[in-house]
Amino acid sequence: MKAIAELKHLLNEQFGPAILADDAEVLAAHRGDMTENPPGQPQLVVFPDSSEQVRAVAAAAGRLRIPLTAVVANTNLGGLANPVKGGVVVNLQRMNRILEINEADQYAVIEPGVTWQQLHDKLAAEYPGLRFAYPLSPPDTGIVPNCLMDGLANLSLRVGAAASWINALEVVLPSGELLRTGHWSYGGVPCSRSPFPALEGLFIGFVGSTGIVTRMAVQLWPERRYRRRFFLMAYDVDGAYGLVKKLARMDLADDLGTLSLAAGKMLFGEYRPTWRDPAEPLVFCYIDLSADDEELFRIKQKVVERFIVEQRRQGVKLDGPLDMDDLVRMEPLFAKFADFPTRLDFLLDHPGGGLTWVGTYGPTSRFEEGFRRGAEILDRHGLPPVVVCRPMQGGHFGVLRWITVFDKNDAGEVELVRRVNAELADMAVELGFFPYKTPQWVWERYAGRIDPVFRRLVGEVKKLLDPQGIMNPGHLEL
Amino acid sequence: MAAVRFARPDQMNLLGYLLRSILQRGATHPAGQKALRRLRGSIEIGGSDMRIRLESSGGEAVISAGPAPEADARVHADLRTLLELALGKNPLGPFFRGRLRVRGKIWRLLPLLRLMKGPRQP
Repeated sequence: MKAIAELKHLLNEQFGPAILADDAEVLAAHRGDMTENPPGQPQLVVFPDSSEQVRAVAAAAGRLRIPLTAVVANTNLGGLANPVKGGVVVNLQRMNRILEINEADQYAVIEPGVTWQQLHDKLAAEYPGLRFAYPLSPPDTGIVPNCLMDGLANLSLRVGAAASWINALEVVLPSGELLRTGHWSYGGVPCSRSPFPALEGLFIGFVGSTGIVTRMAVQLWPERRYRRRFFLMAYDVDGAYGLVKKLARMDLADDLGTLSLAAGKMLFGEYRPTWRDPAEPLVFCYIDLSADDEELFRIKQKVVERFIVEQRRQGVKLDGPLDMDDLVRMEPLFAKFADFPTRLDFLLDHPGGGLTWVGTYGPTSRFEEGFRRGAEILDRHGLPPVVVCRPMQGGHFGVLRWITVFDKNDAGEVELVRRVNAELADMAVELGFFPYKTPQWVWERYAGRIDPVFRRLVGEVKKLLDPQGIMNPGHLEL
Repeated sequence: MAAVRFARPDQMNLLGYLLRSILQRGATHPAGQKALRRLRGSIEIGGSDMRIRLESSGGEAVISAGPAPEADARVHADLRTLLELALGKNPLGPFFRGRLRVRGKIWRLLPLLRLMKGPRQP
């Protein structure tokens, strides 16, 4: 406590009281996330609004050996910004400036508190020729953390996982020094990560344990003039994923993926849809097409429609296509899937307040088995089989995730989702999928399987950058 | 106030959810409310392989999952056709192309089709 009091005094003297909070309500709001992962007990929350302030916090915390956990919205669903060793939470929400949009070179420079909605609105209002990729996470969550944790979004079929959109970083190191990577290292234009040593890799997937990113240059892409999003309903798993994998290789769609039936029913307000009519479709496939040129757009649609006819001829039972615009006209709830960023209320707003997942990346060749086995595990535990899947980067790999809503205040449910997630993760790892935004319990569970040299090197990188071990301790501990 | 509800909310299929949305939307305008009040008896609705039973009386409609062997009338179509009808498409086109099949006391279906059509499109 003495060290915390000293840090508070120092920061108060330098920056005034406005960036500090240690009242019970603020501390409670920074204890943890909506998952079953253990919360922490922070003693102080700092709200910096510049890189200089972050540098001062890091330098002082290093000297006083106080744990620092950086956070924006803490919606990663892995408890990754839960301050499990106490200390100080560095809330970066005030650093929410969009510093530059470069239309010609298609990138944006953003601070860590910039949200999906903010960038979306800025581009829509001032740069309608450009777009960003948007995930299924809530619109008021941060872009920078998602990129650093290699998340995904609705252009990932074309542009891969979110870390690959990073062109350059500005990072406050645990020592308080400021690192600039890529073209920023010599004051150039951050149009690409190439041809430099990829120092960004020291901060990607390291869950804030090697530094605090205070600025990021991220890629933007052209906004197309014509767009169509539609659903196909598939009645068997092999048919659905066979179709999705073939479409992924056709290089036609911007976005392509599947939701299980249970996810569809939750959209209509069913909390735990565990019952299934055998006549219902099992999987909803969504397909997003776009083009700037009307003729190209027509051709893309024609090719996809021909492909659907061919799939039916080969015996794949499909309903649709059901156009998103029509679905929204019939039932406004479908707007949740019509345009991103979006807030999936049915996952977030329920009395229990708990949301968790096992979200994995792995080989698309094993989607079918992962879907079936994951659904069987959830079903056996009385939970609805909510399964979301997307091929990424042209189908080179994909995401497969199993989502559960639960009551955080019910100890029995918390224990249940821990057991279920462990079982799902075991099955996924056996199939060659590994959880992304990896929670600490996953690292511990598979410690014996992970290459010892890999483990040693990750530890040495962390120690090299953070010899005092102050940055987000208790996470990524291999 | 006209109402559309599920007999067993924990056992409802996708067709039931879609139909409830369609009927609730239809019942938001006076002509739809009138059609809902005129809806009587038991109707089986099939969307692809799914079946639901719609029991109506006195301005209330109750939806159950599954077939209705004793239904007064039946209407079957694929989901896309049902969606098109809900968006105001004339049913005669899909009927003559065989995409919309009706059986039984067809007049029982007329208020349902009116209700499904929803508010008149501008």
